[in-house]
Amino acid sequence: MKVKLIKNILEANDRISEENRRIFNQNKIFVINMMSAPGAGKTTLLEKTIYALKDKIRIGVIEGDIATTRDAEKIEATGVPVIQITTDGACHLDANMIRSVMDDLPLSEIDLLIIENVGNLVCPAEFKIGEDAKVMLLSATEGDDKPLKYPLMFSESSLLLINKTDLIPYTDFDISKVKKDSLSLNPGLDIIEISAKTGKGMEQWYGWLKERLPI
Amino acid sequence: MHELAIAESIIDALKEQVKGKITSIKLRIGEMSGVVPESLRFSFQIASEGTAAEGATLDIEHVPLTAMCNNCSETFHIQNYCFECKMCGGSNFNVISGRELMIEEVEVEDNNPPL
Repeated sequence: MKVKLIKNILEANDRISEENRRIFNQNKIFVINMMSAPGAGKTTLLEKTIYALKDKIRIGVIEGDIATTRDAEKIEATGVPVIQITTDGACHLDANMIRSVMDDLPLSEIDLLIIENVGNLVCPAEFKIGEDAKVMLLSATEGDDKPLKYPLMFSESSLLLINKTDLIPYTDFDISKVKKDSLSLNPGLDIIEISAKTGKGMEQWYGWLKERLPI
Repeated sequence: MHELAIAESIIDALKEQVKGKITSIKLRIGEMSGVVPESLRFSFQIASEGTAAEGATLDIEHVPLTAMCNNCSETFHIQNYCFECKMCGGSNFNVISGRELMIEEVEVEDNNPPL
């Protein structure tokens, strides 16, 4: 017997994601799903951002990591509330993982929640977790072919941060190609060039965040 | 790599809606979903063990990435993620297919075959 279904495979995840989003909205929290390849500099970016903004904005962090708690320890040292999710091998966070830890955060005391996804350019793009915006971090040392190799990630993001721009002189990284390919995939994409290490472009990134905070 | 999570989602979705032993599942998977069919089949074998879908075959329809140009209304297949209209060169378009992750149909063993 054939049964017609026409059902979105990720419907259950999308439903929980909507529920997460409703809870975050009720608490007036702007939520970022931060995605990148391993080693692009997510944790360093996060540390710098927290130290620069924590006196003005109440920040919370959810750290997704496959096995270790190293990143969460670094964030904990900044003094903001942080929850670690160890995915035990899973290559992305999903909505249910966020749902199950969110009550451990002081939600009513957070304006900006940054969820650091597992380092991976494929899987996280497919799973909504309740975010307001996806922010993708690409570092210059990864190469300029990434937008066309991982198009879903670039087409789903609201903002592309190009990191480690201080290293561009030592690489073949063609930043104009990255911008052109990314905008062709996603014409509405914002792009900011930064170096979390030297501080270049960081004010612009903070400005992007502040514009979107509900306070 | 996320094929295992997708295989698990398929089984969860079917648990909610389908009663009986499942023998085949028809899927529509978009070109831009990043799902590798061989990997999904392999993951599905593992994820379906001990469930009503164990041993079911996956019939995977690959849906090409297509867009419609907002300038000249031409519909075209996007190749190599080059988002440019082949007719007029425009870059303002709507993606109309290629993002699907859908279960379309399942086949269930008939418990009461006609006499």
